[in-house]
Amino acid sequence: MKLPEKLLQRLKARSPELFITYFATSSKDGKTNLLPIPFSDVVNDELILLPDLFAQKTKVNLNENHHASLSFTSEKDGTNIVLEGTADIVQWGHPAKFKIFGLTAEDVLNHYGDWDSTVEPVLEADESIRPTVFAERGVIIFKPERLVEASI
Amino acid sequence: MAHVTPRMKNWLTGLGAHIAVASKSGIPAVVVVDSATADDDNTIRFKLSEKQVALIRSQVTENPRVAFGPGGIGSIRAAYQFKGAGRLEDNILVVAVDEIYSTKPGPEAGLRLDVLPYEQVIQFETSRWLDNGPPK
Repeated sequence: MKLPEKLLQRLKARSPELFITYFATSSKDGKTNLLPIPFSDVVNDELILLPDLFAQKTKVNLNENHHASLSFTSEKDGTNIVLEGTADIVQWGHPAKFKIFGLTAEDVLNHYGDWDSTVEPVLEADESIRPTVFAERGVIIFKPERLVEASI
Repeated sequence: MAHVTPRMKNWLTGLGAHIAVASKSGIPAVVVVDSATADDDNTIRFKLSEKQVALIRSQVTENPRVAFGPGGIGSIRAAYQFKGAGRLEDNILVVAVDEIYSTKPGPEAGLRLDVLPYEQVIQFETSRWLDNGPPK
């Protein structure tokens, strides 16, 4: 589906009052996970790109179940928007010409895959609080299929 | 059962939450609420609209696992994720929280807080945030 015009305009304008707050995924057997996540870009007015912020559980879930949901909250006017759809992750290590949702891995990664040159120094954290396994950074692609009016 | 701290409660009761449920086969559904109440140290209640109840009733009935995170700017400033068993009492979603995670991006993302001693969780909070809830 094409994104609703009102949402599309706000995303493209990168309106500061609009946050992408949570990306919801689930294991195959129904254990949900919510990831607060910033927004990278919209492609072709229908795909939403999100940075993979070492989102281990999200990655585990998407590897076995592509159903996902993305919810937005506007701090300015209290608007909430929930989209349901499918998602996948483009990862460093994918073959350059590997395609997800019609996008080529090298195009996505070259443009968005090094989105944060000032990324937190993840390896410097104290071992007592550091996750033992780090996800490989990549880009999450969310393809919305339904706007859920009843969610709000 | 997990121990929800006063700061966590303040953010949830002040700004509500994004709540995710899923069918048994793993299809997620999300509702957004703007407030909550805390019964005790691990039970959180969310008042849902009729439409929201209709949206998640079948999922909660067949699969009580619920995940939620603080709403609004709480997603950034109160970087917690709560998981637990949910049940509907009329239009109230009651969640008995049994897991709490840090969702602070970077090295602490995914850190499980409910398995730490309570004092250590409080120390974790006070060393990272100066506030004790959303701005008034």
